[in-house]
Amino acid sequence: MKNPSREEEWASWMRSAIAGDGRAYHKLLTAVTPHLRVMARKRCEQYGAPSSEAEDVVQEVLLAIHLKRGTWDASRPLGPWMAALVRNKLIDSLRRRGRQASVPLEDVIATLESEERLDAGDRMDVEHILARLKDPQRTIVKSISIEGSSVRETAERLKMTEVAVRVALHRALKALSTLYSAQAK
Amino acid sequence: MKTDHLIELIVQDALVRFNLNQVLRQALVAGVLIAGIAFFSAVGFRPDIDSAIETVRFLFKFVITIALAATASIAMFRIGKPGVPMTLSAWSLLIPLVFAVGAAVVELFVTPSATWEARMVGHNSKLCLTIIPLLSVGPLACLLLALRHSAPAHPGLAGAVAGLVSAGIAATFYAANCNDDSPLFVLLWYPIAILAVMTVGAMVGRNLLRW
Repeated sequence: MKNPSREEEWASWMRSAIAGDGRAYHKLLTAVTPHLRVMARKRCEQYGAPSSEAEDVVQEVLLAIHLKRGTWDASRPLGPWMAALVRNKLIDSLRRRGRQASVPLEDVIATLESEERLDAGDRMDVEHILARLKDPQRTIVKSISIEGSSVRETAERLKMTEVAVRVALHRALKALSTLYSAQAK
Repeated sequence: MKTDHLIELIVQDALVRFNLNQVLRQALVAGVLIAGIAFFSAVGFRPDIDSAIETVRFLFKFVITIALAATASIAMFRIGKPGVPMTLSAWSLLIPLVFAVGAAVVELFVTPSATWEARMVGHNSKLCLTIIPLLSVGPLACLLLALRHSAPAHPGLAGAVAGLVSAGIAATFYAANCNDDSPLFVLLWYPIAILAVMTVGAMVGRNLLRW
């Protein structure tokens, strides 16, 4: 990356995140998302797809970053890993949506480096994807994401152990990732 | 679900972690163990192993198969990591082939031409073509499962590399049983068995390793 300070910052957040620092992870994902959105919108506009679909792509890429974070070797720079992963997922996602997909790696790198960011519009809910999760995954997902409860609060409310909630949450994230892939087929 | 909500969700999941290198190493060890147990319980060393071990031809088979297992393993550890360059490790896959071709050329120089055909056809080609693929099944399954944690740009290719590693492990064990030691035999039959395993790996990988 040509923006070394940003890459250094993202890499240090990622290292902390892998060590278990949730706040650093939150910072990283929040910082990356507006860039992902620029890329997804640009591609979707190019093919005349609605912007809600672009937000689906953003979420799919975020899930891929999360579920595949173990493939980043902390001794290597974060930039090339992130750019290659985002590009592969972007191509995959657009292709499944029936869009002819060619995404030059240089474009991805340039967008991650640029100052261009896009915030989500207000009416960007994609409730349909949540509705297809099974219980208790759906209840847990709603409780943590929309209601903003912690894992512990959710566990107490559902009379589950914290470990069980965490396992269900992890499964839910994997299921979401699969659902995104399936709905776009 | 809003994207911000999804981020909240992901962050809560942050404690679940894994390390791809570690998962792959464990799969490699498990694969070697499974192939080894299968080999020693069903196939075993050749009867004349004690005298065979003193011959260059016998020993050089292991140089080739171990080089295959090693170079393919290096490629496998890289292929599932986005942004890691593959060029060098892809070229290094040619090392075992260069060894095999080089040994075959030397063989042509040091043996009379009348014996070439017999050396090449050997006695055990059918065993070679069955035992190598069969011994590969265990390692291939372990490696493909481990690679599900990875993020390869081309899932089929990643599966093929896993097949190459498995075939390298299986061929190393099989070479200790086979009494056809001529490089001409090795160069003709081993690659057929190895390609078969690679093809299976590629076909399974195409579906299993998508992410």
